[in-house]
Amino acid sequence: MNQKMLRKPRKLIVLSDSETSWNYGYNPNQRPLSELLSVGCVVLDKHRGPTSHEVTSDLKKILNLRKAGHTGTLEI
Amino acid sequence: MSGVLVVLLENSTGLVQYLHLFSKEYVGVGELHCNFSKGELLDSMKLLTGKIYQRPPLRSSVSRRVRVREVYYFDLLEIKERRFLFKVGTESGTYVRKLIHDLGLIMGCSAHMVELRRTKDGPFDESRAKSLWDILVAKKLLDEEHDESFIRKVVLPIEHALVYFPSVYVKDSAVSALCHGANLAIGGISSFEEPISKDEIVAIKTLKGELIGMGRAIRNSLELKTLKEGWAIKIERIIMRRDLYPKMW
Repeated sequence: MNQKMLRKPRKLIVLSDSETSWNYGYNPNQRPLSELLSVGCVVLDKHRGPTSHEVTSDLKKILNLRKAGHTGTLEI
Repeated sequence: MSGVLVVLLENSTGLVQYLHLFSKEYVGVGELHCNFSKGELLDSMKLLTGKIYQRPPLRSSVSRRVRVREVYYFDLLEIKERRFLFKVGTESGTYVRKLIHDLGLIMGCSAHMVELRRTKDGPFDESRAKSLWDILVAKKLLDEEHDESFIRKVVLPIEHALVYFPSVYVKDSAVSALCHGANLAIGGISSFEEPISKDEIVAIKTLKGELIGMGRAIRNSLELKTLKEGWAIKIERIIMRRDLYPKMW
């Protein structure tokens, strides 16, 4: 599967009109910070020098994370 | 080399398998080891556009079998003596260093890549990218001045990375069951984005737009519209924590 740089036009098909309760869950753009950090991503502008793995590890330390992983090594 | 590197945090780390497939764009500098004309260079770049064969370089972490990769565009921006500035859009898994090496072979001398910067990775371009320094400052402002605004500019909701996948929105009543390992039945779907083909990877979301996880369509969108019951999506990866939505089964 190749994802090209285009976003396909899509149409929303509603099968059943359902309501969501605001007693649980969050609007993705207004999550509490702790929730955001646990399901977030960072678009990093990597600088020259260290490897992709090394900057990911630095990021993990700065943000005090248990886990972090990058989605594709930048060639050395 | 420098540029856009998408880093997934904590639970979203499990999405690497879906997000590393995105197309990339790079800007770089190549150097040819002989004199050349602009026309010769443009002709050779044209030969390396479209579907190309590429053997991964010695220093790579994948099998070194020759494989086919697509170069969507390969543009010349500037020439200065033996060096040239280029912009290239490639399928995931294309090695640009190798592309420049092969360009040298086509031109009848040799070539190497001097500099490379990734300017796009899937939906993210360099204008949105933050340096490690930005992140350090954002974290300090959060810890010392309790100011969340900067860290919220640096850490994006994972949903922003998934815009290429069709979304399937599920009813509140189905969320907890999915988080506990159930597959998604047609009855649990509130709405979905058309078109979806069979076996396509979809993003499964709540009605609030939060990502629950990723799944593979068992049915295409036409079947999803007409069938009243049965399995719709096979769950592959759950990102949402189990206790965010209450058990309703």
